[in-house]
Amino acid sequence: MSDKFSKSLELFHRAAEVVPGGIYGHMSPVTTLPGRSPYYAARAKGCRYEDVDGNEYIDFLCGYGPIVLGYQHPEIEEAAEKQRREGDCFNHPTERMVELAEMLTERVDFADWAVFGKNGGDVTTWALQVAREKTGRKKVLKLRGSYHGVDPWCTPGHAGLIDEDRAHIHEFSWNDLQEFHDLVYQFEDEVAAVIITPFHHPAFGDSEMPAEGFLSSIESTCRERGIILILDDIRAGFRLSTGGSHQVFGFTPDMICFCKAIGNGYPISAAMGTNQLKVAASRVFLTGSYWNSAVPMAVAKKCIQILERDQVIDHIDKIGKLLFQGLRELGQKYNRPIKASGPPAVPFATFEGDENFRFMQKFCAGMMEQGVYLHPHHNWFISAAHQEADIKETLQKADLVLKDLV
Amino acid sequence: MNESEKEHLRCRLFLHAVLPAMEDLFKYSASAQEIVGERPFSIAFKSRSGLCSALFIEDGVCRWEKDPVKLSSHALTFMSDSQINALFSGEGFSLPIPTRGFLQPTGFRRFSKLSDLLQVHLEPEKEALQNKEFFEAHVRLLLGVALYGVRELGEHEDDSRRILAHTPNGVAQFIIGDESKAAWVSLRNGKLDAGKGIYEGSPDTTITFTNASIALGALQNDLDVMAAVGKGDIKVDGSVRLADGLGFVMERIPMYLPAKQAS
Repeated sequence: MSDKFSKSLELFHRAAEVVPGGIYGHMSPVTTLPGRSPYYAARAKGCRYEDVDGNEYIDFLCGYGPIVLGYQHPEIEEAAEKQRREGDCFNHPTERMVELAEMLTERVDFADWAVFGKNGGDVTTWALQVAREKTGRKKVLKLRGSYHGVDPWCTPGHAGLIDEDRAHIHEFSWNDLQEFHDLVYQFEDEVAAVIITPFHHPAFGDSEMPAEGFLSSIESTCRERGIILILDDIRAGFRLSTGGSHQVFGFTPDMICFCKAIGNGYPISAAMGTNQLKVAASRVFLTGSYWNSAVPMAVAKKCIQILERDQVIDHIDKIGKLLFQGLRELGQKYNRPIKASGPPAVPFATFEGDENFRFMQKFCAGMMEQGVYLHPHHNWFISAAHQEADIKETLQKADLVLKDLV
Repeated sequence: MNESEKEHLRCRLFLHAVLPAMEDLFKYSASAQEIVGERPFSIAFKSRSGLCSALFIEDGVCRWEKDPVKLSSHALTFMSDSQINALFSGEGFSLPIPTRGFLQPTGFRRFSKLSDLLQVHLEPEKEALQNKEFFEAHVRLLLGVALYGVRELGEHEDDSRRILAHTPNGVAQFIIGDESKAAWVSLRNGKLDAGKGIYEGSPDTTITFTNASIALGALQNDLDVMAAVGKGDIKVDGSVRLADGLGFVMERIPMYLPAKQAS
């Protein structure tokens, strides 16, 4: 175990006594580089953060997606503070809820209403229920390897599950229209919903863009069969478009789920849908102690305004392309070809022929030593705070690391 | 899964995961060698369901075979999987029919003593575990049982098959402390193989337990594995998904075998 992370490890040892797993979920060291990466954060600003050992990193994970404008963005913090002075958690929602719902429905072309939660999983699971309520059907089709939260129907974990949790959940492979149609025909009029992502972003694997016609064909089939098409835009949402990633990929869902970037780190998620689903949506009980908190809603409003005003989406696309290009060139330089996958704003890079990720793990460990946080198994994120200088620095460090490894 | 299916899986685990542990026992236990003596000896176990495996002991070496082709000197046939399970677990009634070697009853007595010795190593008394060498031998035996058990459940149990269908192909090398205590399991398109020692080739993932105590906790489902990995007590290098998938199957073994024998 590296001395560079001694405080992290010391904290983890304490945590392991009082927290199952020490750190659980996607932030568990198990999923990254145990002993070779930080476990606890201390502070952050812009596109950089500092761990509890005082190590600083250029951050390409952005809190696993929420940080789209950068840590401690002054206008976001000001909006949060302004609302905080008025209050956050009341007996009722505030005007912020109405304002945000109106703002979102103005931007998401097909959607007529919005509801709010805290996490992506809150709204994906709720969306399935709305589909079941609307259609009277039970079955749900989802993509193999896709992540929609930690509820029993979709958790990537295995423990604590029973057969009944997934009796009506069926999977098809990304870009495999034949398998999708086979499922639809197999279950005829039993399918309530299909839940998809705008591009495929499995953990421990390359991201994959949709083949031509894949998403539009799914949409057509859903329309023909009265199946509710749900877009899980939690990971990509507000990084590819402020009106939903479906606009980039040329199809239209019936419902869409947002989280992560909508609040620049403040906890808020949203589900939106068409008027045809509004009555069904109104019937599906939806609530949580903090779901109507005003501060994240005020922040989300400001976040969307800044995204549009500062043309952030164009910026992060450009920055992501610089990163992709630089990494590919380095891969060629050191004869370790690099596969860049996913859209530039939500990039991932792996090494060709490195199916077990051993080389990627060494590379990312080396980058962490150099002060750049790259996840070896999960796609990365670009924020508005990343500038060309940060990419240049990242690539210089990648050059050093690869030189050492090869 | 109905009771009969469960008994069949248990029988697979006893015949194809627990019985192979005799090979390791012979390597590390002088007592085992003494029981057999110098005469070659072999014994097969067959169930009416078709499950079969055998031990062949010659020149101080014990070799386990699944579905043996060569005839053993002794054979026991059981009318049901439950009877085999009763013999190995010590629970319930078992009356095997000696179908070979019945004129040489000392062979069956030898196996009975060997089986008692194996039980002492797989289900030791607390005091015995205070001896470091014995403890490490115990854990090494359990690792072998666990990985052979993964092979059986991975191919024949629905839940395990379902998980492994989405687990990447590859070889997982398990090491306890150092390479002298190692075993491996390979997964290729739903087919599993397992072996003891260091895999000849490059494993896709290497799972290293810092010491036998950590390994024992993990094998007995009595360890916070996530915390152990975070602390460095268990190191996973390479394909995390492969390690995770195989780990899931390993955790299911105690459902079919009593905890002490399960791991």
